Amino acid sequence: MQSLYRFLESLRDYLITSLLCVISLALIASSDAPQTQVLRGIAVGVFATLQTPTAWVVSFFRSREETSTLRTINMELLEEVMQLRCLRRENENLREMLGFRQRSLHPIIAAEIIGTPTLPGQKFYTLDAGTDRGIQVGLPVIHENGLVGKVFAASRGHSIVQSLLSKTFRVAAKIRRSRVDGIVSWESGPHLILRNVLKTADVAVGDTIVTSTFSNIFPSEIPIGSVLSIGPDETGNFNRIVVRPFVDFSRLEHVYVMQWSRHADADSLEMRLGVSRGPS
Amino acid sequence: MTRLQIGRATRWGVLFAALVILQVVFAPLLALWGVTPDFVLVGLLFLAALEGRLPAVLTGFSTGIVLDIAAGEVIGLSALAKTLAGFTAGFQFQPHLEGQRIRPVIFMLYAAGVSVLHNLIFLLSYFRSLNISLLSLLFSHCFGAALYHTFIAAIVLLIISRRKQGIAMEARP
Repeated sequence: MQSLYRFLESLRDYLITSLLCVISLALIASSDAPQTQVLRGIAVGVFATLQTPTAWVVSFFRSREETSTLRTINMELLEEVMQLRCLRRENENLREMLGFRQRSLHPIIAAEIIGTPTLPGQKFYTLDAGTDRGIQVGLPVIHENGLVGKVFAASRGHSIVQSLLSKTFRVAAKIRRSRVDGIVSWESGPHLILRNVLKTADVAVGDTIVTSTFSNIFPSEIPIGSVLSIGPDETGNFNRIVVRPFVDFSRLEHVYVMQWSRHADADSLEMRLGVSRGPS
Repeated sequence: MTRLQIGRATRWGVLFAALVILQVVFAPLLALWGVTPDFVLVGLLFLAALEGRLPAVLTGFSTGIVLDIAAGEVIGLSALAKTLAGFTAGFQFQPHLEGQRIRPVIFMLYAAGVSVLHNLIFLLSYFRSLNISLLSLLFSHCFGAALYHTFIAAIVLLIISRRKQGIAMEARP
């Protein structure tokens, strides 16, 4: 009997392990029993209580990580939006330029403004195009909205434009509706002045001012601006008409130089007769 | 059972209760590529090495049952896997030694082997219901998990050995 006990004692670990394995297998077989489900429900409730605070900690760290990721994505998207905005503006400009090129009757050279040299009483623009692209002194410079000025100086790769907002600049103009002639000049501020218009002339606020056929620099019918106000000048015989230019000179980014020249024979005829045309 | 033995059993009991909570609450947070570390299994390896096979088998079975219930597993599966893990890990225990010591290399080999066996039991019971190839399961959830468990066991061993000023540890006071 004792030897049997000793034998069983030597096999104790194996026997207990086998018994536990059998119990485990029996439990696996009866895993779906209703009593087991009740027991499981209680255990899940207990462990869920333990998991609640840790779940908060985990969600806190995950939300921080998520915020960081979202911030990065936000920055990337912001950069992308900025690039898209630039591209949109560029696209709009190009479409406008294309449409304008197709409308223009004269060959034009597109140029970008790369500088605005300031001189007292003068407003100039430096362009990134010069004689190498066919730009010459005196050529008219325009924008989609209207007249800008004329080429004042030109080098091989650059040129300088004298704008309408210069004290020495004059341009022969007329009121498009009534065909009344006058001379556009600038004194100060953002507006132009139309002079030499008789007080009896047909002019009204809102009328469009365009270049005249009398001009020897600019082709006719280039829009200049619209009549803002009408009043008597110093002499009392003429009107002093304030004109709001169509071109926003403070926001110019690009212009077009028109390869236009007045008929040479008309010039030579006028020179022979000794006629002075006055303003450009 | 002496008071000393009761004290040791209580300490192990408290440790395993903590390990079960750790396993259920925190282990999912440490999952790598879908492989969750098994802290209870690592605890069983140490228990088997220091206390012998029978305590490891009994603890493996009881903690396995608790884990099955808590984790919503098939009841008895973890119990079976951990009972067999405790039994296998118990082979490293040498009762004839006066002061039971952990031999690091042998312990690590046992850790890897026992972990593979433990994972295989789960794998064999689950792979039919999963839409993953057996080879992929073997590499990730069997050998991958075994590597993970061995790594954790190595870290624990390192910490304990530092505290005990040497790699060999006294098991019995």
